[in-house]
Amino acid sequence: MEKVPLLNKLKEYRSDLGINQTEMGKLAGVSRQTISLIERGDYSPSVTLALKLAKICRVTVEDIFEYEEDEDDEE
Amino acid sequence: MKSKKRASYKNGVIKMFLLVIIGMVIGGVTGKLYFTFGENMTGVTGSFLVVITKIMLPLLSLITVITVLGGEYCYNRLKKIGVKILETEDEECDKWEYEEERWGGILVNLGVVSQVLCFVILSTGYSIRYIQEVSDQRRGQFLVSCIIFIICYFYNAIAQTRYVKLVQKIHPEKQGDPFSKGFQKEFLGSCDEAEKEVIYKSAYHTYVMMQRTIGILLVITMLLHLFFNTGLLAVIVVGVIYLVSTFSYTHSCVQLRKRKIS
Repeated sequence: MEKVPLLNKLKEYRSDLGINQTEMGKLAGVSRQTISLIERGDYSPSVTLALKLAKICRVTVEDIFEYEEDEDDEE
Repeated sequence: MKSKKRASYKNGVIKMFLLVIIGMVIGGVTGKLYFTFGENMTGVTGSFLVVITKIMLPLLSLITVITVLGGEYCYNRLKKIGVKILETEDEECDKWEYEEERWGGILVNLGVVSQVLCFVILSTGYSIRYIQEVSDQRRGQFLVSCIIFIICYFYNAIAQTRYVKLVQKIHPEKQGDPFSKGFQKEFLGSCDEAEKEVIYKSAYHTYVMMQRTIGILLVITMLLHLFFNTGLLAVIVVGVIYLVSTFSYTHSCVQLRKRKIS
């Protein structure tokens, strides 16, 4: 899988919730492997999945995911 | 923009010209080789096929034994990997899931290779002429070869089914009964978005590889017919496969696009 220009803090939020990737996957309706791919930055989730993950972590999508080019724009 | 287009056309023409020159060289060398050794090569090939037909029974038996032993080894390996996947978490699980994919691939490929070899070996004697011309003993051996072929074929089918069942045991979210007609659709439907992306990328890569391979095979079968009179059937079969794969892909693209606008 190619690296996507998407920074994410999913692992941090998942650790705060105290759940493992398998449990996160079950809550989001995806496999453990997909959660792992997202955390490693090897897969960019769909809008639906991103919203689901944000809801599980009780934060907004922008809190979890940041488009890398946005950082350059802000600078 | 125009100069880029012109450079691109120029490169394309040069590449085609080079391919024509390479084709001419290969054709010339092959022709020279054929007219020097051609009859001997035909003789050697014919003798080789006669030998294969004579040892068909032990050869098929050997392939079946290797297939069964290899298949069982891969299956047991997968079972152990499945246990590890269920026991481990997070990053450590990534390693085991990769091993699961790898050994699953080995199992599937082993089955396909054994099936293809069995088909090819059995085909050396699978003709009415052979069955009518040989002795009763040879005919009996051929019958036993057919039975072993069927056993090998059924083992491969069962091995694939067991593999699917094992995957469903490790990943209970995977749906589909391997014996049902709609299995592929159900299984794909139970995959999540990342898994589907892997499947789609692999399918496209396979399509591109097939287009290249089939093109080369068409030329090879035509050349073989030219030099060794192998018959038109091989050329037609490869041509049909080319047509089916291309039409299937373009039809699928059009249907998907149509769904988006309706």
